[in-house]
Amino acid sequence: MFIRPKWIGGACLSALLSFVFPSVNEVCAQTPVPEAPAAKALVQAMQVQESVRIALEASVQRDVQQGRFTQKVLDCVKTSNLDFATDTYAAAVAAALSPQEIKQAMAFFSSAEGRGYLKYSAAQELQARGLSGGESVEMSPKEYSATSKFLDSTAGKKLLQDRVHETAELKASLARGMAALLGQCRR
Amino acid sequence: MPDRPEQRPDEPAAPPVGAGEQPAPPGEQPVGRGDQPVRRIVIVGGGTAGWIVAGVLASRYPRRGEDGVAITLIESRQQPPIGVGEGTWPTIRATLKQIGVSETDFLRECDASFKQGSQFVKWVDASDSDTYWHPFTLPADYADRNLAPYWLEGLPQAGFAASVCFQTELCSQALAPKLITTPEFAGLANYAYHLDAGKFAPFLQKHCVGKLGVSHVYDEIVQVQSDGHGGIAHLVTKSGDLLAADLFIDCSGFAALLIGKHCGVPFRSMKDVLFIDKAWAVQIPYRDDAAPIASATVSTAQSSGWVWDIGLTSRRGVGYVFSSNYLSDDRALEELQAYLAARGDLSSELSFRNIPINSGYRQESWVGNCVAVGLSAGFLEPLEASAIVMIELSAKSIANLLPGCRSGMWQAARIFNDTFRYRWERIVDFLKLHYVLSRRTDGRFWIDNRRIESIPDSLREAMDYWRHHCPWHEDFSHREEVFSAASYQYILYGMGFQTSAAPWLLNDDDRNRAREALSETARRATALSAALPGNRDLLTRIRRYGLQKI
Repeated sequence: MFIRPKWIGGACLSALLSFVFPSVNEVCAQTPVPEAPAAKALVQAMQVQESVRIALEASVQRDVQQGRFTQKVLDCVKTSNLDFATDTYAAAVAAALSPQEIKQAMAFFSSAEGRGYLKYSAAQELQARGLSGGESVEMSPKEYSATSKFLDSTAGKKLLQDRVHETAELKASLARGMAALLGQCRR
Repeated sequence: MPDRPEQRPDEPAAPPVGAGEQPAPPGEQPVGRGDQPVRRIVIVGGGTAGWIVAGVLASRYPRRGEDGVAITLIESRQQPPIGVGEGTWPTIRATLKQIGVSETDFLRECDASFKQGSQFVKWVDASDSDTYWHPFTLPADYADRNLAPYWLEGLPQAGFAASVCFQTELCSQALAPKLITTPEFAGLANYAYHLDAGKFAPFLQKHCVGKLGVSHVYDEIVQVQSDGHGGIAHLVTKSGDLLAADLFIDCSGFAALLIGKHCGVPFRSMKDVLFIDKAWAVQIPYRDDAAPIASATVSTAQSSGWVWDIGLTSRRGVGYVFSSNYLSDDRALEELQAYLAARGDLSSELSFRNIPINSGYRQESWVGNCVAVGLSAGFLEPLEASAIVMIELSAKSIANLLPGCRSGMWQAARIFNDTFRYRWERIVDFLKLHYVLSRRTDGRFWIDNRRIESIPDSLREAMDYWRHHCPWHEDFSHREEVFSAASYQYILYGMGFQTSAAPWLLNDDDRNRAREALSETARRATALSAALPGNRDLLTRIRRYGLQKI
């Protein structure tokens, strides 16, 4: 099974899902990952979990339509706990960004402008796929200005442009978590 | 020594270029002498555009002498060609064949390699798996059936291009599109070339002058003399010669000596739609003689533009086209160097060249008895290698429209201008589509490219239509579209665009046929992958043995 990567939570966690889904049939044990509280708060502010859920649901939905999964699996995914995604991602962010950079990113993503950026980013994916909620969204001048500033910052460059946290370890860990979740839902 | 052009020293002194008597405003009917036959053609500029035009016209109208057509090309030794623009379209095969050159000679002398399409990397979301193809071969069953809605319905594991076209497999393995025994200009897959632009023009020059009877003059134009009837009478050269003609073709590059400086035709900038305005270019040597040669142009998106990577037989041509509104020259160079470093290609011996890009085109390319071709007519960023194909199309159109006498010039100009204005607009739309479909949110360049005000209405309307209808032949009004529905399908679905095809418009017969076509595509990909040699391997053997002439 394959899905196109989807934009997730500003830092494009979606991209990681393209590595995750090819291995959904491997039911692996979920590895607990430590995370710093500040990094976890940042990942929550980036709405990573919500984005993972949308991507996961969209993928399973397609598989349901094509007869690969049942509706039961989709219902299960919709209500599943995705804390592992937050934890996994937080650990990666904590390892890649300095405390100051995490603070800088937190300031942006927890602001109204940062949320505007997240909404804009999510709309790109939804719009590309013709999904509801994908109506044309543009950032306000204030949101655009704040986003530009953040993109030029060290934290923004590391998190959004260079994606220094997206290591092979993160991808593998997310893959394990996804596989475990889908395995549970298919049972 | 080529023949000298017609000299008319008894003509009155002419004003300097751009300061002479102005022709009729664009769009107005030039007068001229209506019964004057169109037999003398002067081409200004000896780059790729000039020599392609010379070759196409000279081969199409081969009669020379007093009862034939005289074609003279004048170029300055002071104006070296820009030397980039290494990508072509499959149309180039027909053009070269028409001109009468040998494919073997062309491949050998221009360090050319086979190009089978383009690969786009990191354009959608910049993830590691973000790549898609725009191959030259049309989707399976393309003439009769639109497979896109059925591909969308089933959405197989492979991407759109890989599902409907066997060629992506050949590209991904850097295979050639033909065998050593395949005749010249024929292929088992549709193909074009990557070529060394610095060698292409001299190659054509040798053929045009030696075989087709084109007169060649090295000189500089210092004055353009109007004929008083809305046209150009003659050019005055630095050495004092006068070049009179019935038709002047401006291939003088960005200088636009005739169409811009003399005729004053406005340039329509496209910078508000296509943001690219600069490039860094560099030539990369192969690490060894056996290094594979990619059989597609690789376009890798960056923070504020994209990097082209083209493999010739002798070297690679790599460059970063970017927008200076978002990135300084220094930062752009750093990004390009990072791209090269990641591939082990960065060294202190590399020489980087900075090139300005002014995206746009002339509102009218043909005014009076002057027609612009190539950079003087316009230039858009090289994302889909549209520069050389526009030269070919222009040359072909001029040859097809060329009237027997001056009275027909006005009508030829009108048809030409309508056609090429449409083509420029379609190219702008198609290039912009790549940016609009991107979901990248990691830089202002990408975000701004999706701003409504930067998207042409025609593109927005088409995309709205394609939300509920997969692109198809009838969506485009012209007989010879620059980009067909197939190209739109490759980009749209390669970039994850979703069309909600109405189930009641699909049927089982087509669905079954689509399944068969997709299976056949996969079988063909496997079979050709096993049969075709590598791009490098075939090119090496062609250098040694040549291709079959027939």
